[in-house]
Amino acid sequence: MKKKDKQIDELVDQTLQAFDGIERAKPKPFLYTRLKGRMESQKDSVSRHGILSPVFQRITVVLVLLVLVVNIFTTTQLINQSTTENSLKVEEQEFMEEYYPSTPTLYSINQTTVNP
Amino acid sequence: MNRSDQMLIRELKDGEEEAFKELVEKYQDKVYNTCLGFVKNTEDADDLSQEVFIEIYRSINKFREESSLSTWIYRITVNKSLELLRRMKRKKRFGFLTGSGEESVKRETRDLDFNHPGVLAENREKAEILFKAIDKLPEKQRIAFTLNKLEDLNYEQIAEVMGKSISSVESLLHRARTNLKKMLYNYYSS
Repeated sequence: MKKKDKQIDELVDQTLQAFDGIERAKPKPFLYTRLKGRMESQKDSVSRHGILSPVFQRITVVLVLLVLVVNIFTTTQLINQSTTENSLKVEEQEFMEEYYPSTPTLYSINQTTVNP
Repeated sequence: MNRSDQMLIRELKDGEEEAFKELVEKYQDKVYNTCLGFVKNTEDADDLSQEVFIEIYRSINKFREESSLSTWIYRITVNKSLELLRRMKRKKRFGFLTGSGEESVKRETRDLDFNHPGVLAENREKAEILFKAIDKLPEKQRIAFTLNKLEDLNYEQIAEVMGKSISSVESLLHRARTNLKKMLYNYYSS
């Protein structure tokens, strides 16, 4: 068992040293030329596409989505508000009907007869 | 900062094309090898190196020369590499939605097979295992270990690149080694 552990320890140490003596990787040739080409094409793309460039397209999509979300939120809020108002009105009406019925009471009939 | 770097920066800030060419030629080895150490793919490292130099070109006027040019370039390179890794992770996560799942599987297979071109032939297999273990380290430990082992930066240089104190870099490297030992021990004992 101990022998096995020792073997594993050795393997671990060897693995940790695997980068020893590592050589530098060589970049692909003509990096500068390719880089200049890329920079030129990026410049061209921006000047050619203008507002149709991918960046602007993404920004537009995000803005449209934002407007839609705000719109949906506002509409939902308004609907909720009007529903609450309506239910309050109904409650108020029911209350009025119960405590202040529209049919004339004896008191109001008397009032109208006494004061011609 | 050495004199030639100071001159290079001044010329770059003046928008001199030749200075940019000189900078690319001078730093392409450092940039490419750092990128390769993080992204573990030669094509991605090449593409990323170009992005790093474009970023340097665009933001040279923001460089306040508080650190050396080399440190600043390393900082940009590490940030760009981590950005790409995060982007790739996100892409992989949402691959099934965008229909690029197949591509991410291909990339994953490619990453697993990664052999650093500079590793000695006799160390190739073990280096592959070590790269996989490094990938599982927490980000800060991964940065410190990669810069130390692959770029051969000393504690002070790593501290400057990462914007940390030397003692915290020492601690990061110590924890990285301990974690790697644990991971490798589990790997070999299973």
